[in-house]
Amino acid sequence: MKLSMLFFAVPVLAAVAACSGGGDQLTGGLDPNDPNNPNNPNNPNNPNNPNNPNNPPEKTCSETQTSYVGLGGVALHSTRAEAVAGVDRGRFKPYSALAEEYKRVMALPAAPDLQGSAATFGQPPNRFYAEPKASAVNLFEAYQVAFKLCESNLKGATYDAAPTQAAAATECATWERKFWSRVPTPAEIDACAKVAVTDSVTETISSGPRTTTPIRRWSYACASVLSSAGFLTY
Amino acid sequence: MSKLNRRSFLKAVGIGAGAAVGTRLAGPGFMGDAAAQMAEGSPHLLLIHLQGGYNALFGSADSFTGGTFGGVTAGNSFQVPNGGPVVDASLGRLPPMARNKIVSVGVFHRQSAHGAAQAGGITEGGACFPVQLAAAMGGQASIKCATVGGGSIQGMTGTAGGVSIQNIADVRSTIAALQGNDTLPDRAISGRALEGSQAMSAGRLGDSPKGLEHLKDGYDTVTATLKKAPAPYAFDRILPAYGVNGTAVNGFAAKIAAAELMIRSGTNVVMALDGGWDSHGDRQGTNVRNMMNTRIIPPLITFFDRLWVNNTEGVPRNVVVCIMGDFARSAPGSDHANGVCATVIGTRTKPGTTGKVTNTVGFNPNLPSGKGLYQMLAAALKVQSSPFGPNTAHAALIG
Repeated sequence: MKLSMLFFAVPVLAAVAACSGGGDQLTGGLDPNDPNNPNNPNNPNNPNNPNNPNNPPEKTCSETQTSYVGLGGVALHSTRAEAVAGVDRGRFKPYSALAEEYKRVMALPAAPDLQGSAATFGQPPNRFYAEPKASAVNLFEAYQVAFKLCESNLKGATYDAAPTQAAAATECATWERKFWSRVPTPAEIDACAKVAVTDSVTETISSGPRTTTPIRRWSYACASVLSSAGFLTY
Repeated sequence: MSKLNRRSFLKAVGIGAGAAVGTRLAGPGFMGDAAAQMAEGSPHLLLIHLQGGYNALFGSADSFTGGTFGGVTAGNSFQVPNGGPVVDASLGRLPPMARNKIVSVGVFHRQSAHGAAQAGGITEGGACFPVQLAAAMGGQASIKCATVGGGSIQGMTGTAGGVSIQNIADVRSTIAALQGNDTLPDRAISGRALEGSQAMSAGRLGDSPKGLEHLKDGYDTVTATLKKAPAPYAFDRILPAYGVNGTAVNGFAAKIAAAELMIRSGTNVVMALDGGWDSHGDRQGTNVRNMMNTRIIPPLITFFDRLWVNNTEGVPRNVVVCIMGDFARSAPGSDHANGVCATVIGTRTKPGTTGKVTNTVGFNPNLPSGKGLYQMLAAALKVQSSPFGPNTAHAALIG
């Protein structure tokens, strides 16, 4: 055989061989419930089994970092959070990003003026940085801001009528997709729809209870989506 | 640390002299039955932490009389009557009802680095004492532990018994959450809607149980707050009493005003942090006295006047105030000591001291760390089941 033909034949034969296995080839040719199948969660040798002694856990920060001792004799990294790399990474959006975020997800012509809420959201002074944190008070502030934005910007016949379960489910699914940049689960849609359909029927003001207007009912629900972690965190 | 100029120096001298005169005019022993009656009310703690350090000349002034450190003289110190400690005259400017209950509490945490010392004062094994105390104090408030105006010291975190530290950064938003008004979204509906928000957040909260712990705590607290009936007190009267304009909590007077607001709304433990106390080189204590006289004491006078002396609300409260810092300042250069002499004022405190230091700012080696202080505070607050154990080291300071 000529050398050039050999170069051609080897990969072809290899490809044929690779494709000639049975349907369970990718699982090692074993029944998924076979105790010897390494992909069986009950197999102690399963590489994905966290109890597998041959499967060391992900290294934490202190196991991978270099230690430096500062002038006071204290390790510079002593106050670093200790955690497995790549997990628990959710963070609260900073105040400085919120106005543009509201503009983006609600397709507003301009970013809303949130200057009056700066202190509540813990906006640090110029040239300083503080890790943003949620609190009861700034969550309530976020809810109020969102409510006002929703009340001002929800336009159209849908919002002139009191929400029904079907209409609320549709609108909630749309908001959640837009505000969170992902498809919501049915439970998440239900949680939002409940606010519009059940929770917001009657408001209480200083003079007593009153029937909530349709636009405010929609706004209560819309604001609940904007006050969830899907929007307020990244 | 702020620089001393001629004007601030003259101001400090004037205030100090006025304080010294004041302490003589009022005389010792003014303490009616009112304080004893207040001790039976709901407990509240205002914890003031001076970031950088709390010079022992404030709580143990006589340790330095005639020495080369601290600039202590008879004219700038105050003898707390009935066997109390000799403290700086700035503390003697407080209303007699409060200053006559001053005690000095020694905290020997053995740490001279800022972060470790801060943690030594408020933590043990990762547990944050103020949060534990707020949880043990019980009560009906939805915000049981708060910090006013933000900031943080090492160890100031965590959750105990469902209680976490909630930051109060703006009084307007806080009053809105506590009381609401007709221009805002309905409180009850907002509370239910935020419960919905929390339900929608379950996945992300579950993915980041530590990183978003504050968000989970925030949802828990805000929904609990909005379920409660609007708070009846006219909170808008508080800020003018402290001379505070605007609702952002960003100065010390605003922090103490916010602390009063939170205490009146039922919060158990309020933490107010103040920066600028890393007073290296302040050998005569001039700068720290100036800051104490101009920034810390004036709003505290108002605070005690409104909550101790002239509390017309008719709600009995046992309000305790604790002033401490990372550590005392060491002699002679006003650097880092390895313990702190805290000042505690409460209706149940019995004038005395466990915090007297040597003239070189040495601490009694038998003193406990921060846990001992919290054992004492729990006793002063009359907490039924203290999570810190019995108050043994400072038992003499409770009447």
